[in-house]
Amino acid sequence: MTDSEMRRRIDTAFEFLGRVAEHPDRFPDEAVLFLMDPGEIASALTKERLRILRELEARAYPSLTALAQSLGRDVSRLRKDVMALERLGLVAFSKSGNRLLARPTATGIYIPLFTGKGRGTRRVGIRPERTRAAHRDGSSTHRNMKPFAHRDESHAP
Amino acid sequence: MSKRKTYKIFLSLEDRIDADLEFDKDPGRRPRLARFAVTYSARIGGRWREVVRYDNFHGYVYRQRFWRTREPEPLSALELLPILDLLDVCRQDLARHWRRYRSLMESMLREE
Repeated sequence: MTDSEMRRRIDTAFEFLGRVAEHPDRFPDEAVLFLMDPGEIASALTKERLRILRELEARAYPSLTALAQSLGRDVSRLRKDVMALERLGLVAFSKSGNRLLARPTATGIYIPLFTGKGRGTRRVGIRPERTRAAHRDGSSTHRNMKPFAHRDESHAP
Repeated sequence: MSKRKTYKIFLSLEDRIDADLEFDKDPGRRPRLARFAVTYSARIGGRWREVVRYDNFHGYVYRQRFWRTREPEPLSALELLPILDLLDVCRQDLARHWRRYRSLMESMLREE
């Protein structure tokens, strides 16, 4: 993915948070959001994976085998789909003896229809950051301060 | 409406933002965003790894850069910003530096 596309998605994510902050009653208390392009979303959330999520939401299954039987699917293929859902944070596993139990972790999936450049995107001019003192007396910003001071990064703690 | 909202935001299958928002609710007034934690995580080596977090849940604003240390790094110069502006500063930092942050985390994990 290009840098600009990733930046656009980060902008969209924060725009979503800004909208929630302004109108919290209009948004669910928890959700998983997908900001990928339609093709990526379709490959991550296939029809069969959505069926699995619905089924897990409807009732608890004692094993993946029982879930596969209920859905009329091959266990190994179902397992691959459930693992993919786990990577997406939509399913969590617990163990009961030798059995792997899957349960849904989210009550909803949300696909925003707006993008980061749309209305409501907040833009704070932070190039030169205001110091605490500047804030207090309302004076202009400190010329050389950046929003986050970055030293040369090293991996040493 | 609950006081707390939690979102898992997939930017790609390998990049994710987790957001916790907490609202103060005064009677007769609109709920107001009071606290947030925004964490950028990347899937590296088959596992989700926290890379950087911006947080004001503990009474002050801080950032954690997980490839360096889990210790919070206070951002006292930003304390007086309105909370939505503060969120925007975090957005700009992440949008500018996400690739470098991710790459530093990858390097740290290689060295481990």
